Order: sequence, then structure tokens, then C-alpha cells
Amino acid sequence: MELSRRKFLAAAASAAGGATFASMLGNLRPLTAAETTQLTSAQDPSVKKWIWVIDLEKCNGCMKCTEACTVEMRVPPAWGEPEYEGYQPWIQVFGTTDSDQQAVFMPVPCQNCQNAPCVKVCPVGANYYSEDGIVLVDQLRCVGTRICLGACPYQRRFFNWFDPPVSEEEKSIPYSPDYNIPHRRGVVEKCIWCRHRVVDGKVPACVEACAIAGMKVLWFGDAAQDAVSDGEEVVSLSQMIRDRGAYRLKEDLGTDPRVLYLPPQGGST
Amino acid sequence: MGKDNTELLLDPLTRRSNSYYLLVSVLLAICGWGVYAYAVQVTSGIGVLGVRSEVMWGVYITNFVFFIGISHVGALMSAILRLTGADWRKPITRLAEVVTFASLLAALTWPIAHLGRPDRWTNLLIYPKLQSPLVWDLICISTYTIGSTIFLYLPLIPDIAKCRDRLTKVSKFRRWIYSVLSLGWTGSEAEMQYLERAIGIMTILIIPIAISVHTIVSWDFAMQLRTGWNSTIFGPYFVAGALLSGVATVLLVMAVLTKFDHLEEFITRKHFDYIATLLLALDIVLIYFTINEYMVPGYKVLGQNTLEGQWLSSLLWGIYWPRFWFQILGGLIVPAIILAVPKTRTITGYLVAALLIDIGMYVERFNIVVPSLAIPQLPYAWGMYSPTWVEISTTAASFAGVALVYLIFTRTFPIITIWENVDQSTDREGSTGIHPAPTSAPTRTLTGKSDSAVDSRRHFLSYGAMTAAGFMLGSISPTIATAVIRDVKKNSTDASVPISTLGESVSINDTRSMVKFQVEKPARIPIGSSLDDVRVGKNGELVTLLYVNPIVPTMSMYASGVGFAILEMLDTKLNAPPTYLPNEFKRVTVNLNSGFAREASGAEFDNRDEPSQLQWWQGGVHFVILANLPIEQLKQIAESMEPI
Repeated sequence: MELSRRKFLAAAASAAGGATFASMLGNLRPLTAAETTQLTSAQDPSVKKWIWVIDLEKCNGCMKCTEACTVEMRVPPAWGEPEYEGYQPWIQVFGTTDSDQQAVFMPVPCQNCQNAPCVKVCPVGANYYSEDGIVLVDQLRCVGTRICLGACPYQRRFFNWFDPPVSEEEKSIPYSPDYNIPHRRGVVEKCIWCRHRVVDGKVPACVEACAIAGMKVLWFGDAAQDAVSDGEEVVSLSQMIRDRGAYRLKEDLGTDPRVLYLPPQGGST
Repeated sequence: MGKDNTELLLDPLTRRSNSYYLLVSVLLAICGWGVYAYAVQVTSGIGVLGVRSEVMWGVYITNFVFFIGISHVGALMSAILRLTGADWRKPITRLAEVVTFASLLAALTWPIAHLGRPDRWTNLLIYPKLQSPLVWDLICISTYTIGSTIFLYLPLIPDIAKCRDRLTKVSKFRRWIYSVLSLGWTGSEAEMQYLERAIGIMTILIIPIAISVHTIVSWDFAMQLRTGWNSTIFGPYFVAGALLSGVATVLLVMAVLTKFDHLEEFITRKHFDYIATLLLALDIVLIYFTINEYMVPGYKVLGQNTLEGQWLSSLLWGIYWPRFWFQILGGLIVPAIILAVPKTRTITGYLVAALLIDIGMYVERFNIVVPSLAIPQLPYAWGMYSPTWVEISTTAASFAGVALVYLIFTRTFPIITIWENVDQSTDREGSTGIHPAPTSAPTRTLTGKSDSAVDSRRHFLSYGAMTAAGFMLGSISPTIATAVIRDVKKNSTDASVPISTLGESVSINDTRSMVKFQVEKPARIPIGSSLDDVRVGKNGELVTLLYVNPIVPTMSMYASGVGFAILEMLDTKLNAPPTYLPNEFKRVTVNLNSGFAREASGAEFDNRDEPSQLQWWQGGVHFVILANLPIEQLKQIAESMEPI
């Protein structure tokens, strides 16, 4: 009797435990290798390795890039955040003065980290790397925990606090994480390096606007092909880095960003 | 004596005064107001809260951490003190476990309530990613909730049986509850043995679970690259704070219950003294952790213009100084003094100290969540945050809800364990905690009935079944919830596209003149289909063919019974297929062109209501076919496309 009871206890406990774990494990699916980082496929020469070079020497803070971004991506408003003056600054231009009281401007788009903290912390896998290493957000899956807003060391993530205004025309655009229109409420937004344009061989809208304005601050290209372009001319990436020296923001965090900054050389602006 | 005491403990279960109803109505009113405030949040958007891109978590997460913290006291009282043989805990064990139960209910609501899309919370169950601390949270807290509920329930069984036997005058519904929940308990010696053993197992299990829960809650913060959160002691720091706030809450609850339910006989001055001493010890532990947490960075960075230096000076003498110094002085130092000085070791002194500690701990949670987020990561101005009326209302409702659950519990079940405190009071000396020596003295049976082995085995079976059922319910209930939500969503019009947005309705032949490209139409369509509508929009750059079919399930994204739809749009820039949609779309070949296809996600876990999709690019035209059909059928339609 005693033995059978004990057996029963063990059986019941293991059955219950087993059932629980089985059902939990069924739900728990770690990211597949392909999902967490598709950068490994960069060995394939047809896969792009997008890179961004920003020449701080030339930037005069005209904000044409931010304007072009707002138009191209139909960026939602920022809702009462005085810092943002209206629209979410997916590419934002910071201004300060250097030691010689010269104005220095720094445009900051999404850094597209290759070890992105935002991708790591997302509980539902709504943040993911595209094949060519751009961090995208699936706004249909995002639940709005906002943990990625906290995790991003560059503050390049924005949130739709209310229903964004969506025109009839936008409604007819089929949504894709590559061109995340129409925008919707309660989800995270970010600069996606105009992926809908770059897959087609164009540079992002802000780079184009920068070149049209004659600034030549923003350069976009493919590290695999060692080429960057401002939409008008194409130059060698490695040559650019050799000539000027480049740094990345918050290198010490190990996020491995894909945006390179060419430091201002001082003297002339 | 035993009988008198039993009646004394059962008395509050039948007493219903006017003030009781008044209190319940007031608490319900506060809860109702909170529900209204939350409804405003859901309908208008989460922007009605004070949180913004910088300080993106606020009071809601503070509440979550605070309530999870309070909940730890149950594990401490019933498990740690039981394990260490501290028998004085017996009258306050259940009291503490109910604090755990009620505060866990409150804590569980916050992670969902703070979501930008609470309607999609089931995504956390459908697509959990193990590398996210929030998913560890989900696993830990659900385990803890189930575990601590079982832990509350097991020792309750003999007392429920007593209610069943003694309270014959209560309503039929309550008698039914008692009879179901008592599981046919008779109080036989064998049953007592099994009960003790089950409690013993849970005692061991609940301690690591409880500690892991608050550790993982702290990791929600510590795992982010954030100044002020970048701390390795967050786990034990949070656990120590959790125990402190929990014990303080229990002290408050003890005082209230002793006063109103006349429990002086059970909860004596000795108990208050012991709890106060425990509180003092925990307070000192937390002071030690606090010194570590702020002094180590303070030595290195205080006064420097680094992010960490700015964070620290904002707390010490910047904009957060009142909150920080209240946390340190009001929440830790002053209570420690009150609890330590003999002159102030009175009940009133204890209550003041406990209240200060609880408020101080709430402020501490706030000080952990908000200032670290306010620090600009790039040269911004500092983030500002102050809670709005919505946050204050829902928070008040949460506290009222905890009080309400507690009140109802104390009026339904005895809040002091009768079988441990009244019936076993004679053989208390022989008891050592986990194994109160059922062999040394004949265990009291609660009803005096004799038992048989068959009976006890049957009851034991029902225990096993109950435990298993509990576990199963815990694990399948999210599935059920998901199914229900999916059904609700199916009927909602959230995803629907008004057909008018697709342009004006024309005949298929007119498209030739109106559209800027060659329109194509399938030659082979599913049996029974008919072309219902043709729309031309975007200045002749978009054509949509809408088909109806009585067999093909309607797509919820279109308002009116559309079975399948073909979209054709001028899209010169996408003559090569894009490389996006890696997750669900797979590459296919359509009409010798490359395209993408995705199966309908309409299976078990669908929260998108999205039909199957097939897209391809052909001569500057982007084709999309949508239908609730297998991909193979969509491909057949696609392969039969012909120019009109």
C-alpha cells in the first residue's frame, strides 16, 4: 500500500511536471541561427553588407536629411516630446561647439549594430536582422514592452504613443517591415536605412537629400564591395577610412555599429 | 479551550457588518475608477500615460516590481521560517501567504497593462524568445504564482473541511465551495501525514522559485546597457528589498487584523516583537546593499561629467534628491532607529516603521526605474517623467484590489491556521517544522472520525489529481486565453481594409484604358468563384480584382465577403524581388519570376488574421494574391494569369 502510494506520487508528479514542461517547451522557441544573425551568410558575395559613412567635417546642420526622412517614411509625430519638435527624428542632427567655439554637427541615424541590444532583449522576436544586416521591426508582432527603447544605447528607437495619422493612400500600401507603412499605434518605430530603396540600388532618402543639398556628408554603401556613394559619385570605402580615420559611437559597448564617423579635421567648416 | 478558539477564528467568516459592506463598496469603487482609467488608456493609446521615448517605463513597472517584492513574504514566512523550525511563525503563516497571493494577482496585471499593444499580449506565449529577460520573467512568475497558490491551498484544506463541517448556516454557494475545496478531507492520521509531506516538498520548492523570481525581475533592468542599471548586485539587492517590504506589509496586516478580528489570543506582543526584529535585520541588510550600490560607483565617478557621474549626482543633489533621500533616510535609517531603540519598540512604533519602509521601498523602486531612463544616451536634454491621472488611478485601483482580495479572503477562510494553532497546540513541543512528528503523539483528527486505509488512499488520489490538474491548468490556460482572444479578434474590424480605399469600381474591360500597365487576369480560378469587383486606384497604378467564392473562407481584412484578391501595381523600382520578409515568406518561382509566398497563419496561434500570400514581380508590375487557401492553389491561379 505504502509503496503504491509512493509510486503514485512519483507518477503524478512526473506526469504533471512533464506535461507542464512539454507545453512550455512547445511555446519556447529560441531564435534559429538564421533569425538571430544572418550575417554569416555575408560570405555570399550577392549578400550586401550595408555600411554608412558620415563625414562630420562637412555637416552644417541644415537638417535636410531629417526632412527627407520624414517625407519618405511618412514618419509619425512624436507627441509632446519637446526635444523632437514634431516628428520622430529617425535621423537626428545634434549640434554642439568644439574647443575652438566652432559649431559641430552630428547626424545620427540608427546605428544598425551587428550585436544589437534591441534585438537581444525583444521578448517576441519582433526585432530581427535582415539578410543584409539591417535591424528591422515587425510592427505586426511588436507588443510594445518598450524594453528596446531602454536597451538602445543610441536612443534611436521611437514609439507610437497614439494612432498616427494615416492617409487613405498609405492605407493601400501593403505593409512590410522593409517599408513599414502604414504606421500603427502602440509599436516601436526606427530608421530602417530605407531598406525598400537600398535593395533596389538606391541610397536612403536622407543620403540623397544631403547630396542634392550639396553637402556630401552622408555616404552609403556596401562594405562587401568596398564602395560607398552619396547617390551621385562612388568612392572607395577603404580609401576614405585610410585618408581620414573613422570611429564608431560608443565603441566600448561592443554593439558593433555599421555607421562610421569621419572626424572633423578642425579649422574649416 | 480548543473549541472556543476554533469558534473565535471562524467567527469573522460569518460576521457581516455594515462597515464591511461599506468598505467593500469603497474598494470596488476605486477599482471601478481604475478600470475606467485603463479603458481610456486602451481606447486613446498609451500616450495618455506620462511615459515617453526616454523614460519609457514609469509607475506601471514600479508597481510591478513593488508587488512582486511584497509577494516574497509568503515564501519567507512559510518556507524559510518553517525550514528553520521557527514555530512562532505559525499564527502568521497564512496571513503572509495571502499577502503573497493578493499581491501576485496585482503584480501580474502590470506587465500586460503597460504594453503598447495589450491586445497582442499572447504574442509573448506564441513567439517567446529565450534570450529576452522578459521571457524569463514570464516563465518564472507563472511558476511562482502556481507554486505559491498551491502552497497557500495545501495547509488550507483541513481548515476548509472545518468550515464545511462547522459553518452550516452560510449560503449554499459558500457551502458548495467549502465542500469542493476540502476534497473530502476527514482528518485521518494518514491524510495528515500526506499533507505534511506535501507541505514539506512545497517548502523546499518554493524558496528557489521565489528567489529566482525577484532576481529575474532585477535582470529586466540589469541586462540592459543602461547607466545605473549596470550593476551585478541587482539580484540580491532586489531580493533583500522584496523581503523587507513584504515583512513590513505583513506587520501592517497583522496589526489591522488583530484589531478588527480579535486575534490577540493568537497574535501576541511576542509575535510583533519577533517580526519587528526580523524587519530590523532585513532593514540592515538592505542598508548594506544600498551602501554597496551607491558607494562603489560614487567613489569612482561622483562629480565627474560622465553619464554615471550625472546619474549619481541627480540622485544625491540633483532633481531626484527628495525621493532619493526619502528612500535612504525615511525608508531605511529612520525605521532602523525606531525598530532598534527600546523606547520606540512599541506597536505604534512598529507600525510607523513598517509604513515608512513600505513607502520607502516603493520610492526605491521608482528611483531605480526612472532616473536611469531619464539620463540621455546622446546629448539630449534629460527625460522628464511625472505620472498622469491615468497612472495614478490604475495604481490606486491596484492597491484597492489587493485590499479587496485580502478582505474577501479573511471573510471566507480562517486567516489563522486552525489545525496548526488550535488542534496541534498540545503537541507543539514535539514539532520541528517540516516533520511535526506525527508518530510521537497521536495526530489530532479534525473531526474525530476514524479513517480507513481505503479512504485515505482515495483522498490521496484526489490530492495527486488536484496537483496535476493545477499544473495542467496553469500551463494550458494561456492556450485557452489565446483561442478566446483570437475569436474576439476575428470579429473585430481592426484589420479590415475598406474596399473604397482601393479606388473606384470599373468593369474589367475598362481597365485596359485606365491602367498604365498590362492588366492580367487568371484563366483558372477555384471552382465556384466569380469576379465580384474590379478597382482601379492610385492614378491607374493599382488594380485590384476581388473574387467571391462560397467555399473559400472570407478574408477578414476586407469588409465584404471577398474570397480571394489579386493586386497588381506598377512598381518599376522593384523589378528585382526585395530580400525582406525572411521570417515567414519563402522564396518561390512564379511564371519563371522569383517571388515570395507565405502560408496563412490562420492555424492555432493567429493574431494577425492574415491570409496566405503570394507575391512576385514581372515586367515592372508587382503582383499579390491573397486568399485563405494553400499556397499551391495560389500558385495555380498565378500560373494561369493572362493579359486581358
